[in-house]
Amino acid sequence: MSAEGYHHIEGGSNWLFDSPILSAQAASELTSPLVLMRQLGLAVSAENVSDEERRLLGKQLTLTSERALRLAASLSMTTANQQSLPLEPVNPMSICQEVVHELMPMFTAYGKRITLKPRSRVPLTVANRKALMRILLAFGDNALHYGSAEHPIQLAISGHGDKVRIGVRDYGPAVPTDLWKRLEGRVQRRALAPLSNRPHTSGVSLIAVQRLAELMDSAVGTIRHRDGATFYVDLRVSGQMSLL
Amino acid sequence: MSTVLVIESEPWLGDHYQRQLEARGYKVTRASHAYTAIDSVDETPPVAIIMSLLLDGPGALNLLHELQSYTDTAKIPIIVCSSMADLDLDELSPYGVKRIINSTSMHPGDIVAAVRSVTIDL
Repeated sequence: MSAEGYHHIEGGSNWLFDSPILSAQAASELTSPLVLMRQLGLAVSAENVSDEERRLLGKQLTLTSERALRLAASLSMTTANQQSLPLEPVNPMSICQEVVHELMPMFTAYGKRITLKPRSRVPLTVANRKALMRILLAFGDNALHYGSAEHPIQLAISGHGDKVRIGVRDYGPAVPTDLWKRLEGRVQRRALAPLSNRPHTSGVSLIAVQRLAELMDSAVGTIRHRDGATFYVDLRVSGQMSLL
Repeated sequence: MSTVLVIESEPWLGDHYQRQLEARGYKVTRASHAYTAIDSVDETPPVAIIMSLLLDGPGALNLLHELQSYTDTAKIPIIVCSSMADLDLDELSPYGVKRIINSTSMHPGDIVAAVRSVTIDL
């Protein structure tokens, strides 16, 4: 019998973005990369650092700032006052390739790997290209510390009836089955503690991706595995091809 | 050579602490979560522990409890590095915490100074 759990989230996070509650949580989560950037900056300017170390520290600074900027970009896109996003037919494979390409330098710098499961004949989906990118980048950023060179983080596309699912599989600590509900509760209670067991998983980014999915009339969710979790987004298959 | 255990789940931050300590002659062992931290303490008892409060899996408080459960590990002074502004040393001292360093404002040298201050009587 499979030990995998399944949880699907739909609808209802608008209230989060109508109040300043989330900004406190976001400020708290952005503190971590900023602390790291400050320490790296201090290390770069130290006197007894070799040229090689300085190059490494500079690269770490850049990658850490890019990661923080990705979180900020997701939040920015989410908090814009809009009820929906323009949708278009999107090739999920090309989006996944872009995501892997963007995240690869950071994973490599941490000695980790991120891969895309090969698949032929992937149907077009209905999505907002930028929002889908943000969702998958957030899943990838959150998974960074929960993979290894031996167990790479993997993006996979699968068909589920009239839906296409894009999942990001990691090997981190277990996630609760009511993950998003708990996150909303924490934000509502102003409980700024990080996600239990997974301090490197940004709760704010998960709330943001839930909102982005809603704006695309799609849904995000998690699957529990014995040795990790898959965070996924379900998208409608585009009917464009059937008209040809 | 005195050993300091650095428990930090963000590897680049851990590297940064390690560089500072090694530059001052300390041997550094590393752990990224509670399980490896306990193993490391058993293998190479450190003169001090530097730890983050954000750890994967069993949290930092569980680890602090575990360390306080044994007479030998309970004596190891602990330095907490955290960006949480509301940490109170009085609340954490029963867990063996001797110093709290605010990671949002710390400078190079603060880590080494803290280790020296908590090991001066050892």
